[in-house]
Amino acid sequence: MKRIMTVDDSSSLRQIVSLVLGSAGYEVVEAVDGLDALSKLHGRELHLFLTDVHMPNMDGLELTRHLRGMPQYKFTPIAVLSGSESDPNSKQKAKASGATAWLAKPFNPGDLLAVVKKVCVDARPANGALER
Amino acid sequence: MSTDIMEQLRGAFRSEAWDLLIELDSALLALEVEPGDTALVHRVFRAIHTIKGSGATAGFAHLARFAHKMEEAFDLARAGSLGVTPDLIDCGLKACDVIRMIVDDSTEGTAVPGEVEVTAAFTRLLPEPANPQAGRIEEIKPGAGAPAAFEIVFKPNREMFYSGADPVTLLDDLRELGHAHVTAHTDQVPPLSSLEPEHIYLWWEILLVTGHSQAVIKEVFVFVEDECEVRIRLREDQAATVALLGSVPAEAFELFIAETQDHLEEIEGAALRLEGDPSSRPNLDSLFRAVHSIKGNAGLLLGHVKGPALDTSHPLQLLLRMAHGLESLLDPFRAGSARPVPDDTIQTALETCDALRTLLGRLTHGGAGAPVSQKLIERLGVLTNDMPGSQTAAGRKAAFLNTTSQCVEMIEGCFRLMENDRESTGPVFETYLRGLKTLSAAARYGNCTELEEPLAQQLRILDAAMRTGAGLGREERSVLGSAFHAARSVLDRMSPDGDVSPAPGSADAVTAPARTPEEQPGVSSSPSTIRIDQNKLDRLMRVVGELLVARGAFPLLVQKLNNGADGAGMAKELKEAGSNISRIADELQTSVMSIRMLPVKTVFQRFPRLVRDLARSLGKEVRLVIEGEGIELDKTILEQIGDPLVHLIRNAVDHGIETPEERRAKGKAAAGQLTLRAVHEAGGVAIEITDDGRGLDAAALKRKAVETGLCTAEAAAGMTEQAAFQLIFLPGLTTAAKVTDVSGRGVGMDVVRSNVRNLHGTIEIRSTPAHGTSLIVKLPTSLMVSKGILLEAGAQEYILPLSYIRDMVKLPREQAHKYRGLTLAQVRGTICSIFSLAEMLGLPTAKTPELSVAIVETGTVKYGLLVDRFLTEVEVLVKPLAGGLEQCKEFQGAAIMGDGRVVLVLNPQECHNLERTECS
Repeated sequence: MKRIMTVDDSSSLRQIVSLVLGSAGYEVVEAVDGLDALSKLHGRELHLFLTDVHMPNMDGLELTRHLRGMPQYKFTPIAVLSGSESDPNSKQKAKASGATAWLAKPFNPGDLLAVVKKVCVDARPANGALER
Repeated sequence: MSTDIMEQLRGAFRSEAWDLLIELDSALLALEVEPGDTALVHRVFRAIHTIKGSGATAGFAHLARFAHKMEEAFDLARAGSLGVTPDLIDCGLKACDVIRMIVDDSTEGTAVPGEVEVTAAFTRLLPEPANPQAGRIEEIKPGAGAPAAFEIVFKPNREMFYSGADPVTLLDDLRELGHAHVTAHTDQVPPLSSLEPEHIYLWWEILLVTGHSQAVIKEVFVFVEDECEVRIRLREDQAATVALLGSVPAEAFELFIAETQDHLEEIEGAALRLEGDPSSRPNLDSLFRAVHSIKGNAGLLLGHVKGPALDTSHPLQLLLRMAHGLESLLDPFRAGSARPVPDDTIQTALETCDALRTLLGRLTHGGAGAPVSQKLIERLGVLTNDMPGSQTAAGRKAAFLNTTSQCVEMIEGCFRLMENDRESTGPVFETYLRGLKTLSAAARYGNCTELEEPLAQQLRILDAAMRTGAGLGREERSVLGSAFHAARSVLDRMSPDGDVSPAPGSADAVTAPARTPEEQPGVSSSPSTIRIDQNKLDRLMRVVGELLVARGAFPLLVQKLNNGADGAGMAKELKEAGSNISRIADELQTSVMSIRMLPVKTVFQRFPRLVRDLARSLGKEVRLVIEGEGIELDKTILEQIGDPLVHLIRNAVDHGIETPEERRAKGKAAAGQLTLRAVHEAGGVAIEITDDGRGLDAAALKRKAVETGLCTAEAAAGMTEQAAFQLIFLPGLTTAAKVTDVSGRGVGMDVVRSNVRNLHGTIEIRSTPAHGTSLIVKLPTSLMVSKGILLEAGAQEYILPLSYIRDMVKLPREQAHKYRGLTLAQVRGTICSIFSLAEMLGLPTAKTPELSVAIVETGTVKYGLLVDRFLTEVEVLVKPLAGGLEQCKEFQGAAIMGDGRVVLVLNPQECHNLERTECS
């Protein structure tokens, strides 16, 4: 099963992501901000990160930079959920910090699943052994 | 999205929104006191931003529209371009009230009192009209348009992986849009020495026939547009490409390309060889056959094309015609006496080969290449109306039947040759084989699945025969013949549209005679293949050869007997012949078994990574030592032992080995050592997983077991250390102080044990507190053949597998003592309880002056098994019990003895359980 970490300070958004992805057969790990996300990695394999940009303690872009610096996650897809605030450079900023994809909020469940399906890479067997 | 989930989403949002509104209220109130505090402005912005974003996602579209104005205002305030005035704060507070009402209101969509006013107030505050939802990519509707053929060049930047993107997913996305033919280019890959493993050097050309628009194709690359070069253009030969790729199954097209490439290589090779030896028939034949196959396959592919016929200048049409031309050119040299092939014909063949290759390139990607030379076309005598195949249904059938009937003829010829000359080998088989291969390719194009099995069967027999170089035996020949007839009857029943009418009753029996219903125990039903060391196969073949020779002795003996040879002499000769056969049978068994054997390395090799990752995630240092990788085990066992071993290793790293600090404090090296060792032992293999960690704490285990109600306090008190260790196998027991991601939930060890038991293996635990733990998994080398002791109990014979037997003794009857219903005896200095096999199985017991006892150890229990007498050591093929007898757990299976009797094979573990249930 593919494991996705959703990082968002909004509990309802996390719940929504969990519900939508959970009912589509993904395993979802929740984290409330960048720092929390890093503390919940435990070196395990994740197939995708979905992170908000604006969060207390550590924002989504900084989290992305951190993850890209870790050998285990340097190739893991990271999708940034950016609000539709008036920053026209948000995509560029996300990209520059190492994000793989972006999705504008608000999104409907279909959009979310489409993006997840698009970037979620198949589990590699070498690490798959860990999850059993 | 179901309404149920939508309702859950709304519920989830409501509870958060109340919290956010409280946060929003308090932040706004604080901001009223300290208008210059930017942190407070940020707080307000975040809260309203979340309300808007989460609300919209949870289905509160109305709320999101309302909140947008306020978000925008505070976004400007955050940036300093809008002052934090009492007006703004006032608006904000009013907005809170409106939001609260919208959230509470179950009838989403209706206007809420105050809403219009607040919106108007915000609009007045904002400098210019808001531009909601700007920059959203417009929804792209799935194209229902007419399919078009695109040519896509996709060159990712070298560093694309670093953004988490993966070209494979992009190619998969393209495939989902329609029929995609992907060609990977490797020309950018540098020599290994300068290859950067994390870079992408490949680039791709994709031929895509899709009903979607170019914009949809672009959308596939939306996240990587800055990281790759993508060129999408419509192909020039739209109609033809669409007609071809739109109607041909993707696999058939790929198969055609791959096979044609192989055939082209063959043409080139054969033509060059022919140049050196112009009258060489085999070279001419293989050249001809390759050309013929290309023509046949192209015809089949064309037969799939629906709609208007492909233009005669279409690469596939040209390919077909040129192959046909070359075939006609070569044909005269095959007829009659061997006539040397002139140089210019070979030259034409080579040029045609190049031209065909160019055409093939044009089919798969835009590959330009020189146009096919008109001269060559003339030389081949290819005329537009000289078409061996067309794309009507009848044409398709004709192409198929044409190919298949040629093959059938070819094979029938082989049968005649074999009939005339029983020793016929090499060349005949080769012809046969080629016929078969073409036939199976045709069957694949024609989607004729019924043909597959009989063809595969013939292929197997021929392959084996060709490898040995020996002739076919009578039986093999008859199997071959019936498989061929089965295939031919399928072809005969072929209706014009390529469907096969149902086979008459008996056909099934003919098509699959080689299937045996039962496989080995524990093997999943999915077909599996095995890679075999060539030497092992060679050895097997040598032994089979010897067997054939040895068989020859018997007709001679019969002849001698008929001629009245003398009894004693014959007996001696017969004995010799018999022992010769039995030696060969032994060797044959060893050879066949060895084919199923694989080194444990195949399982062990994934553990270094596992241990490393585990150690890292747990903050430990672990050194993994692997020994005995070369030891071999049966493939079935190896496949099923992987998971249990992973579990045991995980436990060892997580629970066994301490953290570096803890280890230093105990005076151990900071890095723990985990040893994984395979050794041969008592008719099987033992795999030991040894750590030098903290060891098992028997007392803690007992305490935990009592706490969790897995056993009573009294039972725990009386438990030996060994018995306490066995507690870890109980479901639900864990001694881990905390549950980690890795282990500690108390599930798994019971599964490990049952997996090992299914493989007729055992697990032993040895542990010394503070010095470490060893788990020893003992496995039989093979599930099929096992060694055992034939014994008698209650006037019945049974087999006890040798792997469970630790000792066999004879005791005087008076040395056994009865105590509380248990029979105890001292065997080699230790007391052990003795159970009578006959009693356990409810059979009459014999009174012998001496007790014959086998000391049996199963990993969990060790006891003496009392039998009437031991007979002999035997080697048997154990078959699982079936047909309702599976429930008789006390038997592992049954074995057929040399004289045809069936003897049951005991499972000492379950026998012991049987005894216990009877007692209680």
